[in-house]
Amino acid sequence: MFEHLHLDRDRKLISLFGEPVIFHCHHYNLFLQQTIEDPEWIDGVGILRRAAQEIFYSLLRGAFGTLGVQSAQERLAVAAQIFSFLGFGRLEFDVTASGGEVQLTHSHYAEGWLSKYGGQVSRTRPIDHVAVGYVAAALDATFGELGSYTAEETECMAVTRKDRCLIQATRLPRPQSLTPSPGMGKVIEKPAQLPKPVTAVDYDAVNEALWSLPLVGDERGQIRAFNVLLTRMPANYYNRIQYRFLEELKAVRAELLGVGEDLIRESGHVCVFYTFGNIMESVEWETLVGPMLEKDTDWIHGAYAVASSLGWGRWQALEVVSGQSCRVAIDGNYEANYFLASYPQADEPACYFAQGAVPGMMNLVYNGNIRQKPVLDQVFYNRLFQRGGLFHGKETKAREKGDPWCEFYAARVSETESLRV
Amino acid sequence: MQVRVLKRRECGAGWATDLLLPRCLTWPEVEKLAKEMGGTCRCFQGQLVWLDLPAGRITASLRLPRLTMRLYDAAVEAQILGSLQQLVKSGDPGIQGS
Repeated sequence: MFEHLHLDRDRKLISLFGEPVIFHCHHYNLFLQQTIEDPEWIDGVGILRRAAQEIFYSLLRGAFGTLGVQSAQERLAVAAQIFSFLGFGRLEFDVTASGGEVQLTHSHYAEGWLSKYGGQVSRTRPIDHVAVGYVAAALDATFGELGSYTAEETECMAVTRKDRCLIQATRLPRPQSLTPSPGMGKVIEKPAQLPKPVTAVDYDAVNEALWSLPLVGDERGQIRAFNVLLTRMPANYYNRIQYRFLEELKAVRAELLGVGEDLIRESGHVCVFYTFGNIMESVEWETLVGPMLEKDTDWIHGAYAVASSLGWGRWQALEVVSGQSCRVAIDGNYEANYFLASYPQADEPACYFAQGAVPGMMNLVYNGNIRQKPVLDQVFYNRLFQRGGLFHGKETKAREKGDPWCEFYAARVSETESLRV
Repeated sequence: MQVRVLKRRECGAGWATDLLLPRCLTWPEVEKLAKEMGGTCRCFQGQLVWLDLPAGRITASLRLPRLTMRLYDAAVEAQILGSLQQLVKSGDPGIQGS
């Protein structure tokens, strides 16, 4: 499958069969899922499953067309192969056109959850909503059209602690109404002329080094790199679940919209803390980026060079003031690409993930002292955010509002003052 | 000087173990280790090494004395640790690699 990844070097986007794909780790995946799954007054699980079914249907239709696979057997084999390639585990289909059973082993979400929380708490509800949506999408794309099937996880290893999960798929009497993915979305026409950053970090060299690594699912269908479990997720899955979550929240409990937005921002913070924290403690970082790190501010630049390598778009720190503040541009952010293809122009900045990620990076480097290689666990995370002098951030330019690119500012803020831009 | 275990962390159903070596490994040494363990190795940018074994992956650097093992099998991990101890204790890496 690796050969089917398409790299857009100018926009720093990566796609697979027409769908933008991006790396994130199990810490982020679990946090974002839990954020959407937990509120009882919305159908969070429905949001997660539907989005997975819609987005993966588009990806799989693209795959079947490109690869020219016609028979059901071939299509299901390709669907299983892509699932593993992306790092979600292994699927074994035992299905016909009327539905059937699918076995999931080495589930990214279930194993990730067990690794992170399994020692402390028990789980009573299944966790594999992405896999459930994927199975329905695979049957839709193989035997029917989008929305023809529904699926349910009947056995989950995060609950049973056994070595497999089971998913049952059923054909519906009539297809349900679902919305396919907008694909690449509204991408930038050409890269903006951003000022050259003052740093020893060569962004393009870091990009090329990381793009040369064949980060693909192993025989278990897992991508274990940088000390985390990675997935190469379709970006539009994240986009769709985060924006639909906020829409539903607004419709049901409008007064909680701000809390919802803060939670998505927090997911960006969690992502940076765990994904980038682990990246910065990895042999890969020390070997490929380490030689370019002359000053502490280079760590911020190095991190954004890595971010640009993950399929997230063109992230670049414009200015980093050591221990004080930073300004970061994102030219063609994956959130904005989706937003502009799915909604009218925004009134307020809407790149919530990036709004959390930018201050998160400053907190990681200047409050978390990542250069000292701390143990990145929940205890450390909680302690870090109980301290004063945290960095807060704001999206000061927004492509989704009509600006040519998105820009973010993060600075230290005490508990009694708000961020001054 | 010995090979030192720096950190051991859970990572999914497996774990990751960071090692500090007394010196950097050479590419011929990595190839030798891969052969001994029935694995394959690849080098990226002339610096970063992936050693793929049936039990998982080892990531090493040719310019830093650091190595991370991400393996599913504790016995294989112990065996590799032993091999590494022998490797770095033995003579000049240049002679070994020739």
